[in-house]
Order: sequence, then C-alpha cells, then structure tokens
Amino acid sequence: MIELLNVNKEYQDQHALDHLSLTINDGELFVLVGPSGSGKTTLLKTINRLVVPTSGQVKIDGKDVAEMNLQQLRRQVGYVLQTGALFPNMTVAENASVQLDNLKWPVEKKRARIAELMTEVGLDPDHFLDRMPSELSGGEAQRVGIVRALACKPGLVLMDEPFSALDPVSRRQLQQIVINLHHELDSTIVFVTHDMHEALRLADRIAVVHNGKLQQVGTPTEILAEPANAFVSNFFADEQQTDQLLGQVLASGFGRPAKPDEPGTRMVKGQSIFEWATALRESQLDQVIVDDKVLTDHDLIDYLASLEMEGDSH
Amino acid sequence: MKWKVTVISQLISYVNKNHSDLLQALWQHISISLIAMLITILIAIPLAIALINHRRIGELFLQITGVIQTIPSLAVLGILIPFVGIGTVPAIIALVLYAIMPVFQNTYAGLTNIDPVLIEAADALGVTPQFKLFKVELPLAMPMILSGIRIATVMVIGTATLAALIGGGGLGTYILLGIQTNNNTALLVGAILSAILALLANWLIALLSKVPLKRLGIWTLILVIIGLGGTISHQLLKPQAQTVTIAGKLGGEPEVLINMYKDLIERNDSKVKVTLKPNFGGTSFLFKGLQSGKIDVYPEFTGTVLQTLVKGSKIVNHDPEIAYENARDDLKQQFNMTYLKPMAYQNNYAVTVRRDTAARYHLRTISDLARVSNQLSGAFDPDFYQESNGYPGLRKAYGLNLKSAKTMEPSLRYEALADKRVDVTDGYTTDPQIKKYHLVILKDNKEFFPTYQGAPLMKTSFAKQHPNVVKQLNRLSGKISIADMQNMNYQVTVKHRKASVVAREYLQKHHYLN
Repeated sequence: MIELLNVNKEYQDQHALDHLSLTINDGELFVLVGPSGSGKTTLLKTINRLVVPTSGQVKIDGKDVAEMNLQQLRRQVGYVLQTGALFPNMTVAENASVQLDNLKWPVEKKRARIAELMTEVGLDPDHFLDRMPSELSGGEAQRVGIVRALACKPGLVLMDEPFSALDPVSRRQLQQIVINLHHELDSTIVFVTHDMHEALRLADRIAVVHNGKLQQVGTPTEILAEPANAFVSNFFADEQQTDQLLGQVLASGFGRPAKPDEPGTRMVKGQSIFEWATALRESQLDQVIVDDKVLTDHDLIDYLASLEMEGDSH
Repeated sequence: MKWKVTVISQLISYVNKNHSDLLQALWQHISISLIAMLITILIAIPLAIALINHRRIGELFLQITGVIQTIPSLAVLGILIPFVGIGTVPAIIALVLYAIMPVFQNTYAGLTNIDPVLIEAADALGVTPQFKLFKVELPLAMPMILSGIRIATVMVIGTATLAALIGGGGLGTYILLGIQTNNNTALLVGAILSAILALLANWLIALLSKVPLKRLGIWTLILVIIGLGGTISHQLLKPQAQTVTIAGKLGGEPEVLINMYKDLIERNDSKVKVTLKPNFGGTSFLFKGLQSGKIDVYPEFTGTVLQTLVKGSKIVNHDPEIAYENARDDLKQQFNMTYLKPMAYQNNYAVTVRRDTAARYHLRTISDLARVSNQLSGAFDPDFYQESNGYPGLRKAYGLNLKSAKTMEPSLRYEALADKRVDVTDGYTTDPQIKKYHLVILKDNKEFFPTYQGAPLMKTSFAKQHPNVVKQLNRLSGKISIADMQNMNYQVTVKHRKASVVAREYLQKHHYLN
C-alpha cells in the first residue's frame, strides 16, 4: 500500500503539489490523470524520491520513503519513462538487465528472466537482445523499457506517460501488454497519463489531478457517472458523449421513484445506456431499477432523443 | 622544379646522415608529449567528473584553464625555471598547463550535456554511483572526451618543439638548430617530422574512438605497464657512470665549443659520460640552469658576465686580462662559481668593410676609417646602433662621421655590405660571414669595444669534485684564434657540417686527442 499524506511541493514560482493525500492499494493499476502541468508526474516521482516533497510524507507499506536507503528503494521499484530512455551505449540485453546487474543476479538467471519478459512483451529474444537501441522503433524501445522496469520482479512499477510519444497502433498494443502483465503479475502499477481514454482503458482506479490538487479518485465508471466537479466532467466530456451512463440519465431528470419491491433488473449508475438497452431486451419487464429510481423503455427513447436534440443545437 | 628536387635530396641526405640522432629526438618528442598527455588526462578528466554536480565551480575552472591558455608558452617556461629548473620537467609542466583546457572543457561539456532523461533513468533504476559513472556518463561523454584529447594531443606535439629551448630535447632541437645555424634542411626536417607526428596521433586517436571502451581501457593499461616497465628497467640497467652535463647557448659556436669539451673530457677519462645540451637558450636560462645544478658547465663570455650576470660595475675593461680577472673574482664572490681561463679568440663587436673598400682607402684600423668616413655609408644592427658600447660611443671615440648610417636586420646587413649597397657594418669578430664574403675587420686601435672572451663556467663545488674535468678544459685556455673560430663557425653555419665533426677535426689537427 502506498500512502501519500498531505504531500506538498513548492518550486520557486509555483505550487506543483498542494497538500495532496492519496492511498493506492496493493495490486491496483492506479492511473494518475490530468492535463500537462497538473503535477501528476511530480506526484509519481515523490514515490521513488526522484522528487523530494517540500512537506508531507510518502509511505510504502507503512515505511516513510524519506527514511529508506535510496538505492535499495529504487531497486525495488520499476520505472518506465516517457521515451523508453534506453542507454544508447548498451545493447537491448544490457539495458534490460541494468537493475539485475546492480542487484548482482547470476548471469544465467538474469538471461532467463530477460528472455521470459521479452517474450511476454512480444519481442523475440534471439532477434532483439543483441541489438542497439538506435535500431529499435519507438514501440520496441518502450517494450524494452517495460522489460527493464519489470526485470527484478518489483512489487511496484511506476510509469510516467510511457506511451505518449507512440503512434495510436503501438499505443493500443502496449496498453494491452500492460493490462496483460498486470493480470499476470501481482505488482501494483502507478501509471501517469494525460490521455483520458488511456486512463479509462487501463485503470482499476483513477485519480484526477489539476493544479497540484486532487480533484477526484474513483473507478472509471464512478468518475464518468459522478464527476466530482466541473473540471472532472469537462476533462471526460468527450468520453461521456460516446459512452453515456445511467448516472447521467438520472442526472438529466429521467426516472421516477421506485416503490418498495418494484420489479425490474437491478443496475448501477456506472453502467452504460447500451447495457441498459441489453438488459431491457433480455428481460420480460420494460423497466430497470437504478438505486431508488425506475427507468422505463420510454425513458431510454426519450433520453436518446434528448441527446440528438443536444447534438443539433451544437 | 630544380629547386624542389634539391630541397628534397638535401632532406633525404640529411635524414640519412643523422638518422640515429633524429630517431632519438623523435622518441624524446613522443615521450614528452605522451607523458604530458597522460598527466593531463589524469588531472582533467577526474576534475571534470568531480565537478559534474558543482556547476558553478566547474564554470570557474573553465575560466581558469582558459586564462592559462592565453599565457605565451615562452613566458610559462621562463616562470617555471626558478621553481623546477630546466630540462624535460618544466617542458612537461608547461605542456600539461596548455593541454588541460581542451581536455577539461570537452570532458565537462560531454558529462554535463547528457540527455537528462537518461540520467533520470539511471537514478530511478537505483544504479550504484560507479555504474552510473562508468556505464552511463563516461561512455556517453566519450566522443566529446576523445575529441578534447585529440585537440590537446595535436597541440602538445606542436608546442613540444619549444621544449628544446630549455634543454628538453625533442624535434624542436632541429628547428632551433636550423634557425640558429641558418640550416633550412635541419629546420624542415624538425618541422616536417613534428607535423607528421601530429597528424599520425590525430589519426590514431580517431581510430581508437571507434574501439569499445572496455577494450580501449585494457589496451591503455597494457601500454602504460609496458611504458613504465621499460622506463624503469632502462633506468636500472643504465650504467651508473659519472655524468657531466654541458650546455651551450643558441648557435653554432657554442655547440662547437661544448663538443670540444666533451671530446677532451671523455678521451681523458672513459668513466665520465658527458651529456650535451646544445642550443639551450639564452644567457639567463643557462645561468639559472647552472645555479640549480641542472647543468654542470657552459661556456660564457667575460663581457657578458660583467654586463649581465654579476652585480656592480657594468663597465668592461678594455684589457682582456683585467676583464677576465674582474669577471672571475665577481663570479667567485657573488655566486661561488669557478670561471676557468678563457680561450684566445675574442668575440667582440667589430667594424667591417669589404676588401675592395679597405684597399682603396688603405683601411686597417677604425682610426683609418674615421679619416674617410664622410665618403662612406653604414648599416648597423639596431642594438649596436643604440647602445653606448656601439655606434654612438664609436662616433665619439674615433670622431667617426659616416655619410649615412641606418639600422638593418642583423642577418641582412652582411648581404647589404656584400652587395655594395653599404660600405661599413658592425658584426662579431667570429662571424662566419666575414670569411664567407671575404670581409675585413678593422682593428679597434683605441680599444673602444669591450672584450668578450669565452671560458668554461661552473660551480666551485663542481670544480673541486672534478679536478680532471677542470684540467682538461684548461687545455683550451689561450688556444683557438679568431681565424680558427671564424673558420669553424663557417663550417657549421654556412657549410652545414655537424658541430661535433668540426670540433673533433680541430682537436685532432692540434693533437689534443693523442
């Protein structure tokens, strides 16, 4: 578990982190999202102490990182940078085993581990291990970056906008790799991005950061369904257009209060209108219950029509 | 075309004749440059590494090394002599001072301009400081570092020619020899060899920069071990003979003299080994060298002793014997030095005219010249023209009144005289041009010019420890006439014969070596 307690970071002319508190659970794929300059990367870097907070504490499993040996702390934490940041003077194999070299793993064990991870990220070890970083594409370099971060089986992996410089196809492939690896490994992953699609796709939970302040923490559906404030709803506005949720339907004034024991499929605010339509088709009844409200098939038609009208007015 | 062919054939024959000496000078040049570069690298690179995270001090060092760079190399050599004496040590120190700037600057720039993302990656992965330095920072800065070393090496090889000025040896010896004895072939050989050496070094380092760092490190280590081993075993195996170091000023005449000293001493006692340092520089270099014990003996003129070395009266007595006694006593008193008895010839200022002028006006003395001086024109060395010992004094003493008198570069005034553009010029009595152009020296019948007689100068302590050396050197006292010396200078400077050969011929002819 990672706890950020009242973390504050001031630079000469700006407040990068403003007394921010946050808890990240073990095994979570936790995404920090926000526009550029929001402080999300600064926040990430306080965890492995690349940034030292002006005040406040960062604890990993109850231990304050300020009191840990810096090298030991960092060798237990994987780190993936924006561009892969492979050392241009080393081969792929040498790059991937930087942490293992520093942890003095035996050669054979090291080689096996790297080969295994290379295969998992979709790079043929025989083909890639002896190449130089200059011979790799951006996507390949970032895959090696991920292998480097995961090599020593860290309990925690930090990823700082790792896919922002990639083309959409590579980005999608790498997102899938991260999702798969997260399922296979028990690692906690803290992932920074400014791309809310990416955040929604990857996250178990999302923290929205703006101007150094925490705006909202929640699952993707929670955030889409119940944005805490105008900034959050604005930030995810695009997503709401294409993926309407029941919470929004209720917020628009649809639904009547449910009587006790009213029949109907039980649904939650975070489910989409498409799931609503599916539920209606598969059920004998023409209504669903969300929390304490009843939504009928007419509500669905009216809501879709209201969206259309809204679209026209633009 | 013909000119080119002669120059090339002269070069080839010069190299053939002197190849073992040239090889030695080349080796000296390489070792001076190599040692200087090794020291530079050992200073500049660790310094740059230490200052990676202290940017302000780093900038300060950049400024300091830049300032050192602007000090003329001769001035650096001059400043160093009182502290470290003469020879290769000050030469290497001066070279290191010059080479530090490019190596430090490039290393520092290379280390501080690494992509910050890579530095962050290394930090974030928790690598050890050694790993960060040797596996990340240094390899990434290596192209810059090597280019700094390349610039510095080329510069050091070029500047190392100055080492010859203070007895450091190397290819500069030939350049100096060429300038001093007007021997263009020697000058060209020295200059061309050092240029080739610089180009080769440049090429070699460029080649090395493509070799992986690890292998480069191993090879450097091997070379250093071989070099050190070689030097040490060379030092150990060298016979522990008694060594006497004899130096001479710039020019052909001192070189002939010290070669005579060497022959006389070594012929007498085979256990004594004489090391010669010809073309060692000016009076003050040599005198300081003698004081600091870097050299044991050098020939000095009585007039120079009285005018520039000893404190007190600057007037040189016109009686050569009294001048010598004054010089000897002052040196003994002020510096505890022993000044042996001088040779016969005097290397005084002289007034010369062409043979036809002398015949036409019946000139034998300067007084004779004064009689007809209003019909003649003169050209003089700028110093001579100004000094009270020179032309102004001469005019007063003899009532000389030339039709015209102008100043001219020393090397040109003899040619002007020979070409009949002027009729009178100054010179030194032993100048080889007097023989070359068949000139006539007018007798200083009023003994106006101070007397300059050459004699070996050494510390009294040295003289006491080496009575045999003193005895051998004294054999030349009162010997060697002006004509002899003129002839020998002519052989060396005009005919470009080796000073050692000319010296030995004289000694053999006069039965010194039997």
